[in-house]
Amino acid sequence: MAIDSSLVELINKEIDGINSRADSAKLKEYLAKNQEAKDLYDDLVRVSSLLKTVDEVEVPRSLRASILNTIDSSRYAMRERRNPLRSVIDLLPQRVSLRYAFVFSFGLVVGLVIYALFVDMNKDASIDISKLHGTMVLNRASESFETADNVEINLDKVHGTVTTRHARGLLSIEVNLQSQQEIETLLEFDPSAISFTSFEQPDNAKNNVNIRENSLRLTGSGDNKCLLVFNDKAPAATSVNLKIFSSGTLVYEKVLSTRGKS
Amino acid sequence: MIEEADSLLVRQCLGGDTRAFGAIVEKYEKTMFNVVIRMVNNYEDAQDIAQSAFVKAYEKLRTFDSKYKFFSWLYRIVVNESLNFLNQKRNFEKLDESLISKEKTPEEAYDRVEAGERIRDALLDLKLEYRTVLVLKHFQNLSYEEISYIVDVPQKTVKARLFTARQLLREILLKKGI
Repeated sequence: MAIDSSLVELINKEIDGINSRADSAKLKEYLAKNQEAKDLYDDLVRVSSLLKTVDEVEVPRSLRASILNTIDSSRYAMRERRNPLRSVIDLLPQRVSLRYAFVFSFGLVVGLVIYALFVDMNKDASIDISKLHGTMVLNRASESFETADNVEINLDKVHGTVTTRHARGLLSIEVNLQSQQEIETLLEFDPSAISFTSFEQPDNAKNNVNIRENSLRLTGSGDNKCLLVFNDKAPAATSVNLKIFSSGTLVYEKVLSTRGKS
Repeated sequence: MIEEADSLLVRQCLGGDTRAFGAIVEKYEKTMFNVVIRMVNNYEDAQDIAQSAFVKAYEKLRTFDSKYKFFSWLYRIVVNESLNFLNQKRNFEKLDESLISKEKTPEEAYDRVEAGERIRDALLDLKLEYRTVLVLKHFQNLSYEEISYIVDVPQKTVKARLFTARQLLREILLKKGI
């Protein structure tokens, strides 16, 4: 006896995980009554799980180089010369990061001015603005952040990127991880080399940030997005140890560099 | 966020920054290579096809429409390259098949290969249209909508092909005693 096509569709949708709860219940009911359909369902589930046993294949090491050697690198160069504004925009590290860096720089400048005024007020109750002179500019460091390290994470439970950038005494670490379960992202560092300054999160982020002298822990699920800024006091490159825990188990570890190769 | 980062890389490439294309290759080479190898089941052919697909993507970068996801667009090129290769190979083999039979008995095949390889072999017994949707659904976990864009057929057709592909694969595996 042929299995009804609507039942075949329900079976396949169940395997794809897109049946509604009501459809799943309906299917369960059908399968309990129809052995042929039950056999088909069991076999297709088996086929689906057998396909999962096929391992990923490693990419040939030479593939990237051969692609990059084959492309005509001058193909879009003319465009760049014709449109200088576009090339300036393209030089920016990343729009979101730039926004965070800009906000941070602006906040830092405003904070320093307020602090300077406050100190001056304590010394002398009346503020003599004739003594205040100089030039005030936005910190240009935001435009010269250089990517030091960019780690792409592709695990079953966690995926995304962690990027470190360095600019004149500042180090930013951009965490952009997605996970269904709660994860802990731990950054360990040498407090004599770098010290935590500030962090920014998108409005909808619900991550907890726990800061200690030599470590910073970001806990959350879903989108784990955060821009962390440190004062970089080290004369040369130092390292930040990145660890990711899922259900209390260490699932990923990497030492991040704080300076670019150049 | 991923789409935003990809769009930025594309804009950088179009601005003449070939390092940005290097970043695109680094990001997607593994995924795309695995799609190709599951389609053609030959490491060296897969390398050639993946290379050719990425080069084509670079050349066509200006035609990329940012209303679509970049990786779906890239998948589309990779799948098309694989299908073109397999179609050409099939035509060539049709000419050649009278000269030598590559068929193996089920016993020979069973002894020769491991479980994973046997499944990859079974996939090769499927028609290309069925193999493609099965690879994109089961190995890449793409939605019907994404597959529909990549193979350029309506979602209804994707579903129908996928359902048929699973049943055909079930029969092939049963015949092979897996």
